Amino acid sequence: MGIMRLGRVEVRVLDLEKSIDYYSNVIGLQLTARENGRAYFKAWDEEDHHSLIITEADHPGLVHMAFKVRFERELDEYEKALEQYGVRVNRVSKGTRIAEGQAIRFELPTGHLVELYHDIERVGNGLKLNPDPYPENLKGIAPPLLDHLLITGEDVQAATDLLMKVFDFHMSERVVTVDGEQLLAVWLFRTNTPHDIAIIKGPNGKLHHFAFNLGSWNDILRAADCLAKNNVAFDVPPTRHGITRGTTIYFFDPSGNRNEVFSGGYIPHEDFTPVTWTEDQLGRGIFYHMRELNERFTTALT
Amino acid sequence: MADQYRVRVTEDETEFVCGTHQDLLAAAVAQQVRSIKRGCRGGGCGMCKVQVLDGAYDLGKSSVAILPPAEREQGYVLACKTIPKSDLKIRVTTES
Repeated sequence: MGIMRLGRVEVRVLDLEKSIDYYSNVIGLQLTARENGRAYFKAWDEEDHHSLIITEADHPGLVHMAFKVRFERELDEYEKALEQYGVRVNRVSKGTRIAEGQAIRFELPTGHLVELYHDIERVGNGLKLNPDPYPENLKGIAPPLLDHLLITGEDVQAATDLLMKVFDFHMSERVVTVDGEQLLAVWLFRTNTPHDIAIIKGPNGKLHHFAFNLGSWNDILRAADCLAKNNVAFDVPPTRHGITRGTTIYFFDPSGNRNEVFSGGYIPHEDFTPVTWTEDQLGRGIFYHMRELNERFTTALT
Repeated sequence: MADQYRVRVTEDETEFVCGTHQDLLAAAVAQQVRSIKRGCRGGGCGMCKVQVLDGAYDLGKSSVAILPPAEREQGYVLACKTIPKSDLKIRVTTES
């Protein structure tokens, strides 16, 4: 019931062809469709038609994020619940984008557009009958799945409240001021991963990064090799997060949208007690080894 | 035609050379010139914004959100997207 996962992100890119090459050959996603000014991708283990849409524009950043719900009727239920919560909801009609059914759309208090949907063309992963563990001819990093995204906004508390109260997101971790008075960042999940969405205090409407899942620390190292070979700009090379305990690399797509590959972390359940970090320990929370944030990590947003 | 140009950074009196197919930020980084901030290197974040005070250049695709047309007219560029077409004099900006 309810939201199953972060189903897709749509990001703006400055140069469509360059970005198609990057997401196909360096990240190693499968290009499933393209139309005027847009391209659609899925990761190899995903069954839905796409999890990433890139749209050509004169500036980078997030167009929308979308969560997939278990049942179509839940769109009506969430539409009502959102309206009762005081949030305006719009309908996105079937066929607005390739392979997608209808969706409902609303804005978070942080200014980000969110869609909920159930209906999307199922193309499968080709691994359902006596399968091999992974398909042939994977390219680049080849993550199996889209994992999560991190957005920035001024009122972290208001966005957190909405996601927890309306959609029953659960909190895995949070960063608070030393006096405990103010929520500065939050990690929220509906799946059994430490986060499907995270929100950190910053300018409204901005994207900090979106992340793909990898299976192991060894895959992280291999991904870093692939990025170096392809001359991709690193933000932070392989390391561990204190928050989520996951291993990570941050790097930039050709338009400056930050990408992450993320592996590991614990498996939280609905009764998980949130982990709290105080602001003075944020460096250690984000980058457990170096214990400090670089300026680029906090200011380069799209 | 030269195969590289000289780029002078006015604040710290440093100078570096930049190839005719190389962007200013890549050249600066390769020569350990650290006065230009290194961000996304994709024309998207604005951290490497500098002002060209003198000289000719080509500016590649850069976000209008962080480099609006009015700034472009005043010679502001993103170093990661700027290829010199002559010797340049640049000023490192603090705002971005």
